[in-house]
Amino acid sequence: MVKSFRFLLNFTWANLGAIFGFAAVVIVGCYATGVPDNPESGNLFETYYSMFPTMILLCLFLYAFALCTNNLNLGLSFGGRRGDFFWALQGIMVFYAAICWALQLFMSAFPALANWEARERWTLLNLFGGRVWVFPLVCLVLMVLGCLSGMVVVKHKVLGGILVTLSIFVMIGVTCFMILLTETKIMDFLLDTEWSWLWTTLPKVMAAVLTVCAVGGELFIWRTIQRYVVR
Amino acid sequence: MRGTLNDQSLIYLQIARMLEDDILRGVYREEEQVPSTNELARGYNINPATAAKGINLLVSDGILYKRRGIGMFVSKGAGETVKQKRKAAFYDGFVKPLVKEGASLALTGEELLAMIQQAIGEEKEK
Amino acid sequence: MNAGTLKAENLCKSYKDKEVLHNLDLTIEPGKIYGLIGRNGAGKTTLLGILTAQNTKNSGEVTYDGQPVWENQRALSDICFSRELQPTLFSGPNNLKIKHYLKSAAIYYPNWDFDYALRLLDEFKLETKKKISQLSKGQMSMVTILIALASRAPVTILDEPAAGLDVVMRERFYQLLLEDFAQTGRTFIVSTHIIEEAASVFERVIILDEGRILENTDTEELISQFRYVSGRDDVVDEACKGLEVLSTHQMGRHKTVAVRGDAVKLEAAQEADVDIAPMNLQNVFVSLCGHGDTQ
Repeated sequence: MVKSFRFLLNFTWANLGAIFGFAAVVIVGCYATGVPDNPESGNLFETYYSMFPTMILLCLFLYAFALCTNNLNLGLSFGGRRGDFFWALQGIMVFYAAICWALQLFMSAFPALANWEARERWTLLNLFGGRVWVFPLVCLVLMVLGCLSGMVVVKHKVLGGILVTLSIFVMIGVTCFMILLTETKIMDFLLDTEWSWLWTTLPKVMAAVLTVCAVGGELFIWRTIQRYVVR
Repeated sequence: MRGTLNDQSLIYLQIARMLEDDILRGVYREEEQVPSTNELARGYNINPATAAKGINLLVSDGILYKRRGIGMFVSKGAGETVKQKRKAAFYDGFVKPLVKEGASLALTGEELLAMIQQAIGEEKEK
Repeated sequence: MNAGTLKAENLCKSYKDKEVLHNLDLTIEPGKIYGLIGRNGAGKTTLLGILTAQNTKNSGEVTYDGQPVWENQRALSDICFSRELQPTLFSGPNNLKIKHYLKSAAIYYPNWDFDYALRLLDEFKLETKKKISQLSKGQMSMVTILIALASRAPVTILDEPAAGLDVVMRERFYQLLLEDFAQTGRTFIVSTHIIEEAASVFERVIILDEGRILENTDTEELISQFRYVSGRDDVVDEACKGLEVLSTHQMGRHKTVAVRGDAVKLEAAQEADVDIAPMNLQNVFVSLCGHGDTQ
């Protein structure tokens, strides 16, 4: 398993570098366009900054896609054990999630540390009302979806396309949901209506559904790797 | 290097034959070392096992012998052995085909013998 | 080199409804150079994939040193299957740089020889920064060969290594292969359809035809069983009684047949008024696998 892990790790450095690079560009861009001092600037860099978690999720989805297509093929062609590759894959996904979580924490803490003008709209960046563990979990789920999408696209283009679209919906849905959850005014309003039960159970339902999908996805990934034919 | 091997006979036989020719020509004298299996394989771009087969053929005919740890050497009297071997094969290899060819040209026995005498004469004059 | 014996028993493989390999038995003894020859579509790559657990089988067993190869770490570490490089991948051009490709190989092959790899990179004039999609066909073949040789794996398999190379490079490849073999004595299986050039390199030859192994024998031993017999048709027919006739070519009353038989029977045929000529490996292959496609 160590071999496959080292093999996959070689590819993560460049990928993580891209995400960190993007973060650096966004921060520099904010400084360059006067975002820290002007709470109402509403420019491109500010938007990128506030949507940063979503950008991470998108990148992770794409990286996972490659992991389970090109890298899988290459690793197995060099004589990698299939079971080992699966577990190495898990390890790498955890690694990605951990690093991105740390970056996400940094990005959300940075404005306060650097004395930027406070913003109301940067709720996504903040830690979702105390549910600190949600972000890395969502990272993992999206990576599983990315792997799945990659594997399915290879065999059935249409089905794979559907899966990719679904994953994007999940990404957007989760993002919106997170925004809603931390947008206290809207939440208060919603909780006052007769449908308040919906808004309290919905997160739990969603979490359960995503977990089931993730587990199911992992099983499918295991099966696909076991039956994979190297090209 | 490969150019000296052809596909008219098996490679290991050609290797054996070439070594025999070299022994007759004095390229390798008695008690001198001949190229190793690996050297032959490298030189002719062939599998070492094939080269080894050729050498082993000469060993079993008593033309070469092995000195452990050093290599293959030309046996004493190897030149004679090769000549004897070739004499034994001369009939099947040269005489029979000559007669067969002559027969297909409808040459008589006398005509054949006359030609052979002529050729012997020409060889003597060289 | 501590190579084990790679063995397939009763191997069957089908793609959808088409049976590609039929009850195939094959034993690869360690320490020899094998040539695997067969026509396009005979199943060479499929067979090699199954032997290395990179492809799945329908039934039968593949073992390395008695243990099944499937998910067997020792087998997977000992065996290197160097395939043709892919210029395009699932998601577009293959942008992997050569140096990353080699780095990955080095991780998986425990016997990887860095110095050897560097020497070969130098000789093949390959730039490590180049991406695979930027390489010519010949350069891709060279990378394939480099991986196979530098892996120093006890069992090394090359799938069509000479395909993209010009004749000078092909000769150099055979030289490198023999040099490596002389030095390490490792097991090589080379699948090719450039037969005659490579024939002198193979100690044993495996002929795969339509999913079945026709031959797995010593190369020269196989060739020695075949001859071309030609002359007048009735004389040829008489001379070839008792020999297996593989193909016939007739022009008027001149007939040439490709025959197979043991040494005694072939000697007997020489007595008749016919011309007997040896066949080289390529001729043997065509007569066994040509199936009357060509006359």
